[in-house]
Amino acid sequence: MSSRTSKVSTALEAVVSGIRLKHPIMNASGILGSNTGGILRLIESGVSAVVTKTLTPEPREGYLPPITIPLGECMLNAVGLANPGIDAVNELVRTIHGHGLPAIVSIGGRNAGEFVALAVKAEEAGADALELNMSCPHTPGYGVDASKTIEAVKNIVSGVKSVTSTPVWVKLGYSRLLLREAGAALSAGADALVLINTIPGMVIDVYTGNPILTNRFGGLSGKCIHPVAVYSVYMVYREYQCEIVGVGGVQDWRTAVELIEAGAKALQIATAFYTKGYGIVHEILAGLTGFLEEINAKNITELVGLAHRK
Amino acid sequence: MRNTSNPNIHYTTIQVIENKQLSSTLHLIRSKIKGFFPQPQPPQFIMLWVPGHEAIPMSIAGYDDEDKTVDIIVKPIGPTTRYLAAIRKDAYLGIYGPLGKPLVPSGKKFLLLAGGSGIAPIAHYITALRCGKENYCRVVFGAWTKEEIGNAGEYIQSIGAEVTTVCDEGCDYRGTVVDVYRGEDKEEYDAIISSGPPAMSREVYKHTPREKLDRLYIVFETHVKCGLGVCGSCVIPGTSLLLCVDGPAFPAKQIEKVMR
Repeated sequence: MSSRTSKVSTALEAVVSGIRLKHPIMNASGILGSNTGGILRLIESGVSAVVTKTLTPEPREGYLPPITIPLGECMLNAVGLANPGIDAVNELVRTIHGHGLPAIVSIGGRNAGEFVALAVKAEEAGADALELNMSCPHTPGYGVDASKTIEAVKNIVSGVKSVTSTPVWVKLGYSRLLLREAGAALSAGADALVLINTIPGMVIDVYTGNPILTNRFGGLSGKCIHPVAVYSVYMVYREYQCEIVGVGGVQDWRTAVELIEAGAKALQIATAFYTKGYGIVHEILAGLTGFLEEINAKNITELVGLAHRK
Repeated sequence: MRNTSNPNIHYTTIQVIENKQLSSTLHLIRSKIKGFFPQPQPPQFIMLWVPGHEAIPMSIAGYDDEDKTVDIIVKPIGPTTRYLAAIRKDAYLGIYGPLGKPLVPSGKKFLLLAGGSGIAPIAHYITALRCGKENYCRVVFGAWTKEEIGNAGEYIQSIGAEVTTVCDEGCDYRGTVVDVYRGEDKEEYDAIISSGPPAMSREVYKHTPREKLDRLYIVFETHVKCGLGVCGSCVIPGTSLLLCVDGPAFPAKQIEKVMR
């Protein structure tokens, strides 16, 4: 593995909030990052940084299955923020650092106070960046619930910024409030925005009439939401020219480049690990390298925000 | 690099056609597939959703492409499996799959070891390996008591395998599957598949000659929640293997660390 990873050309290097990445592709929070074995699997896949599962103050079991529904190249999930709790952060960060990769620790509290306490523990564990989950759409009290108002977004971000010198990434989902939330997070000191989370959705079994997920509704991800992610990244970049990590339906080099040209400096993938398999990172990197050669670009950063210059 | 191919995984409603009690603890449930479901291969499994209860991972015990039916074998343990064991004809359930990787060894002669509800994937193997047609399969099927074995032995025989039953008293052999396995001439078989509780498979591993280990396959068990390789709950301890995408069966050599 390491031999293949080291072949990634410097043309793919990316920097987000001062963190140097050997290439732009990391995993999105929620995929495998809650235990050592899962993190090893992500590292083997070739990601440039590992984003942990969102850690909450206490361990959470999450919902009973069904927690996911496969929908072709998309997926609906309501896992319910199952995670080992913030006290597992040391072991997770140690595993990631043991393989020489930056550790992005995703944290999720119910209010500013909880976010602050989580941030302190994650920083003590050596996190390279904190990703504040302000957008999980399906777990009462957390995610979108914890950041219901623009005021709450501001309070959480400024609270976390006041206790940590670790870069703070804020993960937001698409809604009509996105631009206002992004503005609030940035003015409160967010170093980067992660756009977008899953989009609320529901699937009903027509014979039984029941919504299938135990939580009845969940978050839609994968190819279905890619154009929404491109739009969101484009609109936020146009307004704020901030640092953005793009997420949503990246499943090949083309969808990756789209988000970059919309304004993302780096990318996260999740559903494609399931739809395309764990070789997806290397497939995308090979595709990106080929594309740069084809268009005679020296490096990937030349493409960041290209759509705004057209 | 372990890569998993694009999983052709689908959700469909199924409708129960028959619930046949095989033994005091084993129920064979055959259901009609109401939507699209790709042809599964052993030891692939499904997430079986019981509306109002939960979804549980279940081995596919049989599949008929012409009739569009799928079989599962249920052992009532918790509320959901108890509900399933008593389910009536015409009830609706949901499934998504096939999950996991097909792992069908080549050869003509197979030894299939099954403990308790571990018989489910073995039943699927019997049809996929064309046992009783061009190939020969011997099944050693064990449980604690004769009642738990019930008519399951006859069922396995009816689908094409030769069967030895093992239990504490009143079966073909008194003892455990491993006791029978120890007396077997492993050289006779092109492949050996073990499907049962982890303790059983560990013992099977231990009693397999080193030179035969590359023909031993183990159907493993961990805690599956999403079945798609996303949530990470089924990771095999001490490895980066995910049961739901890399398994559920592994060549013994791939999981030696866990078997020792």
